[in-house]
Amino acid sequence: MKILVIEDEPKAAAYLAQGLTESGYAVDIVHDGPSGLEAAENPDYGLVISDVMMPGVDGFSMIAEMRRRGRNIPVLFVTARNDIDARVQGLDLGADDYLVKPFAFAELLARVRALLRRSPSDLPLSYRVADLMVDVRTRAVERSGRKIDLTPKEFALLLFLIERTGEVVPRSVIAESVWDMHFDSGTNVIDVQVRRLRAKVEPEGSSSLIHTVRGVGYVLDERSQAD
Amino acid sequence: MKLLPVGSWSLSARVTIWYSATVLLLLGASALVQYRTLASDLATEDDQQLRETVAAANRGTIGVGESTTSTSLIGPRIRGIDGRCNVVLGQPRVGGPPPLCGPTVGNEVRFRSWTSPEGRLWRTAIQRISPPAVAHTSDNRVVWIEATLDRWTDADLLAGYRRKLLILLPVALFVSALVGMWIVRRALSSLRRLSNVVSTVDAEALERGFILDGSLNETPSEVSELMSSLDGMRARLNEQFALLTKVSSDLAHELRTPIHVLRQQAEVALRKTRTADEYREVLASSLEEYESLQQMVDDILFLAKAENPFSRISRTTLSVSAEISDVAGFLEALALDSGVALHVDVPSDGVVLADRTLLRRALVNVLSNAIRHTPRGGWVTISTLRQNGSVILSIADTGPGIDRESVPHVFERYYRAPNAPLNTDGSGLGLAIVRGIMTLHGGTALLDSELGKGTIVSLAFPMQPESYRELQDTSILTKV
Repeated sequence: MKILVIEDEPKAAAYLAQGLTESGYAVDIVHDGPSGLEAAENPDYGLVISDVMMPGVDGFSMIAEMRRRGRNIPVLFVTARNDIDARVQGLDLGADDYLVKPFAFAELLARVRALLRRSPSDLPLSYRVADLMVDVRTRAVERSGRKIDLTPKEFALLLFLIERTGEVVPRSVIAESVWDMHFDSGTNVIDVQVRRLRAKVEPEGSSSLIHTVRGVGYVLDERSQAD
Repeated sequence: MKLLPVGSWSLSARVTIWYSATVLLLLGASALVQYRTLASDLATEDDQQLRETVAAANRGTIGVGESTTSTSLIGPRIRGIDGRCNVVLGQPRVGGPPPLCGPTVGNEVRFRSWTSPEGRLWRTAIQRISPPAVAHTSDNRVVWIEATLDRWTDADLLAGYRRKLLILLPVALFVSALVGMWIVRRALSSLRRLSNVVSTVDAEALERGFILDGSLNETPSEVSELMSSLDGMRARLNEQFALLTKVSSDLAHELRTPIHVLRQQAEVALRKTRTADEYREVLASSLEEYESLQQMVDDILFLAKAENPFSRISRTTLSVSAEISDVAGFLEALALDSGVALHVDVPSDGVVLADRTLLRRALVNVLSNAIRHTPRGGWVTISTLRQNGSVILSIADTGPGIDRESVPHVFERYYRAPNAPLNTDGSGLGLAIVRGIMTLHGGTALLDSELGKGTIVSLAFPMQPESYRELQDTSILTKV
């Protein structure tokens, strides 16, 4: 899937592109609004990541023009402006998501994946990672054939992680998606929640499945943390 | 020279003009009244004299053709007029009025005013003779007695009066302007002194207070009122200024620690070649420091926004119990981990008008604070109350409490009670953010605590958004 990055700050654009490329996306960079508008006409792109404040045409005018031309590609704005008005304005104009700089790259990645994700009906009804089984419909969880009892929120957390097997999910995204807390709580509550979940799905003697990625967040997969 | 708009004229000019205009108006009005009274008195007197003269001539007391006072030029002259309106008795006067004749009824006296072409004013009265007398010198029958008065003395008197007024009024105007100006200048001198004092106020003087030269009892009450208002403003500004200074210095200190760590680890890491794992460790550790820096910046920006009186929030009607149970669910693991029991004692039907994210953030901050400070085996209770048009959410804990002296300061940024454990992992902004959120809602945050008896934090959300701005204004001035 190709992503178009519109960002006038070269260093920020370069690192953004590098991070996305290394996560398996093809990335093109343009540095101003008019070029972005032109490039977005290309149907190869599945997503636009755009700065808001740029010389020439700003991001808001750009998306308005893009939507006027009938281009319905998802747009994720990244901006240093953090006021509700700007956010509302961006979303009103048809932006699909809005991230405030500085942001964790893992969070951007999580949002990019969400925007590119298949529709929910395509999601599998059960997951299997190593010997961990999760049935979405019956909400049954088994490890090596042994049933594990989870609270609803623990199940939601596990489902969120297993739906993103192999993706590093930042704490802020977990708090937002699982608990609907759209702010940094300033506590280690996500760590505690994950620790409690881990204690249940990783009983003594079993292999580790939920890994902490230092400074970033959590990932559920089979590989060891050192990879 | 271009005339300034009236609105920008000096106070002394305005007061002087009004004062002089009033004086002029009053003086002019009273002079006019007096002048008219005098004129009408004179006319009445003249008419009376004419009436008496005519009556006396009729009785034969005065001879027709004589002057009442033959030596004087002032008195009325008497003439006899016949039926054809000819002067038949007395001198036909040069420059005098033409004879006045009929018709009169009975012994009625008729009057007429006449102005000669030169502007001399005459007053004439006639009365029918009864019985009609025959003049001794002629055959003509005298039908009417006429008396005529030259009113030049009256006119002179009134003209003199007018001349005096024309001199007196400008003089009065001038004097009243001078007096007005003097009064105003004197009254405003204390204002000028105040202005001199205020113009020298700088950040340093904010602390000192205003000292007005000259004794205080010379200052008019209006100005001393202004002075005390200004002094109140100074005190409030000083408070805010001190707070601002403290906030920026606190912020700088808070920033020092993560910057110090970042710098040290980068420098030490670069001192010699290290393994990839070691570099990875340095970068991961940096990432954690960056995160805490970012958190700090976000919080500071949030507080700046919350304290901006023009900030707006979007409020919706929310179920109190749903919000509380979500927040309690979020923090439940934290409470379990700390061995603290979480009681939610909230009726299911209450609603609150609030911004959902902000309400949750305030609740999470207060609740996590309570859990953090409550020792193992303790409990934290959340309850609600409706009071005076507000919904009050109370979070009570069985923690060690806070001493009385610290209670008023707990909502300040980076405030740490002297007895608070040092290892708390809060940013020092948690409760400041809570207060900011309550300010944005036009509500209040209160903390009640006693050492050894736990702490209760109450968040009051007003139910009427109309009172939002008003409440917010007061909450900025009166500190929580």
